This record gives sequence, C-alpha cells and structure tokens, in this order.
Amino acid sequence: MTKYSAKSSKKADPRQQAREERKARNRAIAPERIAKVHIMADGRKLLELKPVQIPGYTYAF
Amino acid sequence: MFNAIQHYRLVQRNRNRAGLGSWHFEWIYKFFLHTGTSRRKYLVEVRQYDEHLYTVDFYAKVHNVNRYRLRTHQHAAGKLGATVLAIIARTIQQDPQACFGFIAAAMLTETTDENTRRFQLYTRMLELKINPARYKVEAFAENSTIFVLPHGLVSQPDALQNTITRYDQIFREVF
Repeated sequence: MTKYSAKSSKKADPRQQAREERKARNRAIAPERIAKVHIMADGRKLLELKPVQIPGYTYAF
Repeated sequence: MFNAIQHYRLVQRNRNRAGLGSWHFEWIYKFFLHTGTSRRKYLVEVRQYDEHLYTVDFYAKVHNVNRYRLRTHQHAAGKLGATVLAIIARTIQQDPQACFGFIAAAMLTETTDENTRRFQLYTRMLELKINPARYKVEAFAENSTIFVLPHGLVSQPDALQNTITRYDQIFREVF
C-alpha cells in the first residue's frame, strides 16, 4: 500500500465537519421563530412563523 | 430595510386567452435598479387564480432559461424587495381578500430546492414587512415555498389545506 492510499483512508477533517454543522444550523429556521407547525395531509410540515414585532416599524401592507 | 420603493410602472394586463395554465389575469410591472454603473430592468408578474389566489414572480430581464435562479450581483435586495412589496400592496388594495404564494428559486450553485438562500431571505423579509394584525407568513422549508395568508384562512384547517393543495397544482403548472 502506498502512502497515498493510506492518506485517502483518513477520517474526514473535523474542522470541515464543524463547518458543515455550523452551516446547517445557520440555514435552519430557528425554533423560536416558529409559532405553529401544521401537518398537512401528505405529511409535509407547514411552518407558521411568528411576526417580528418592531415598534414604530412601517408595514408594507 | 425594504423601504426604498423604486419607481415602477404597469406595463400591461393580460387575460388568459390561450388557456395555458389556470390563471385568469396577469399584471406585468417593470422597474429599473441603478447601482453604481449598472442599470438593470426587472419584471414583476402578478397572476390571479380562482378564489383570490395570486402568485408573484420577479426576475431581472435576461435571455436565459435560468432567469429566476441567476444572481445579478447588484447587491440591491432592499430596493428590489421594497418595490415588489409595494406592488403586492397595490394588488391587496384592489382585492383585500388576496392570498399570495411564492417559490424561492435555488441559486445556480445550490443542488436542492430545500431551504434555499432566497427562501431564507424572502421569509425574513415578509415576516418583517407584513402587518401581523392582518396576515400570516407560512412556509414549507422542504420545497422553499412561502405563503402570505389572511388570518381568517389560517384559523380554518380545511380551508388552509385546500389553499395549499391548490397552490401545489398552480406551482406544478408553472415549474
């Protein structure tokens, strides 16, 4: 076995793994933003999101 | 953010004469975004379906099949979002019972339609700018679809289910 094949069998880079986990965490909708989860007939999850309350903010409609 | 409404203009209103798709009327708006040395034309297409359902599509005018997925690199999401929201507000003035459905297209670099970057931006934008006393934002992260529904509809599970099913059919027609 050459040293190159030994290198390829190494474990995944932990920093890369941490980066992927962080990315996935940032992409997910934070639980505190979800007001309610409706389960639809086909099993999909419809997320009802909490409104963002900012005093004095102008709404578009 | 999302307050800088650009000057927009109604280009035309189309009736669905060809019978392609189940929409009845379509309103096409145009506006321009200027950033630095660039000037790009954007088109917003609002389509009306049965039972006060509307879809809103917008894109930079470009001859490319991926027009919904391309990035323009104008870095003007605030102005773009504000103008599209103003057009939606105008539609609501005409039809106070309107519901809206959006698909947040994936970037060219994204491999799935699940929880796309545009989906994250649009949900945040709508949460911020929609009056919570009148409307609710509902989202499917699985296929990056977003709905803006009046309170009355959300409180009735059957009506909500019917609306989502109808929107599924509409999105299947278009994409």
